[in-house]
Amino acid sequence: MLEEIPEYGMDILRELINIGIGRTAGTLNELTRARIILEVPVVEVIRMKELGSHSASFDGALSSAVRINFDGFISGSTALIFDKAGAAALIYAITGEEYDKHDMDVMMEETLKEVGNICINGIMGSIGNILQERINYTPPRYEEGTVHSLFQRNAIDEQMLAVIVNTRFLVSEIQVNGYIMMVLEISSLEKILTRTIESGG
Amino acid sequence: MTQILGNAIWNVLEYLPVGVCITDSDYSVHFWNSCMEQWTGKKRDEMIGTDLRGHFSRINKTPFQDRLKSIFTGSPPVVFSSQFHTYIFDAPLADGSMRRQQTTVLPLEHQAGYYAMFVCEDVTNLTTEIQACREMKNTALLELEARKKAEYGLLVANEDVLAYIAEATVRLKTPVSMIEGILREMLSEAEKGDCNPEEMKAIIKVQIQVAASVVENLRELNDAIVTGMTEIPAAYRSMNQQ
Repeated sequence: MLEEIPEYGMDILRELINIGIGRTAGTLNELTRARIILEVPVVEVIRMKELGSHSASFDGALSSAVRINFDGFISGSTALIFDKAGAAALIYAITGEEYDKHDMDVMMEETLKEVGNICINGIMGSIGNILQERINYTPPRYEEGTVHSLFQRNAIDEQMLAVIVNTRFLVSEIQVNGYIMMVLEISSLEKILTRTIESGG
Repeated sequence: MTQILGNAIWNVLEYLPVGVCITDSDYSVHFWNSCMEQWTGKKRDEMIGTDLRGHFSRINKTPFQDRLKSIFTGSPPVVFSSQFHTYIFDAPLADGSMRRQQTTVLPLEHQAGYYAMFVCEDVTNLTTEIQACREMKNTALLELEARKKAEYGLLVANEDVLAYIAEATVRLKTPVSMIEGILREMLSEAEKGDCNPEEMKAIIKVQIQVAASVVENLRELNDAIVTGMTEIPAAYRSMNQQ
């Protein structure tokens, strides 16, 4: 955990993320016939240079990710990341199709894109509500690669932080471990925390 | 310049090979491109200024409404995949079925807030192709499994046949050697002139039966080979098992 962020700052961040995760679970359950439970997330903040040794890097294995970049009042990138097998298992469970260890095809990628979109919007929505500032977002993109390669451009700047949200998706009888990762500058995180405190959050 | 650029952008949106529709927060339509006209059969004049929800009732449904609301506050774009929603805009094909759609809704900032820009891709053919591809893959996997089973069955049968041939060879060699030995002995006795005709007749009768048994065994072996070496005579199967 970063020493620059005081414990009350982490509490604020956890609160914002918990609200976002709660909203996400509600939307996913409304959307699908499957009952989806999102476990209470574990939230950490690390420097990007430490990402390689974090479990969120899946030990350098290939991962499936849905990512949205943003700039404006705050700038950075937020992604929902699974290992590839986990992503396929989750999509099969949500859509009710039989899981036969297929690779991700284009249809499944599109489905994961919507799931990722809902998760990311849940969290970015709760942050956006607090900030009430202009932020521009790219449409969600599906990407495959190592976690390191997904954030290579952000990792160059060692001042970048990664807010790592680890949660488990429980659908039918399967459990899939996923990470929501928000990569942003320290100044952007400070803006979020300051504005939340100002708004009495 | 801005005006020229502005017109150019509208022209691009007009002729994009995807459906584009722009509405304000009351869902009043401000832009409806030619692709949307073609897919839905609804002309621009019919759409501009009217409530989109009056034309396409799916947009009124809760899952859409809840997520679309955030677009008008400048939240991140929203994606509606074809697997969850099939379609948003009723766009019938020649056979009466609806085009499957992947729709992305983006916030477009203007002076008083945000418009929603719906960008709609037709994924009907893509979906059909992928489903066909999945079916082919499943069929291929099932066939592969069946083939593996058949190959294993053949391997087991082949081992049986080889065991049978090995045993049959031993069984055939014994009586043939015996016939050979006895015939040589008879020849030797005949040459010496001390043979007993009655005794020789009895020996020859026995050896005829042995030879007939050898011929019968050879015929069964031949049948087994002709039938593809997958079946061995029941007598030998039980013999092998013993």
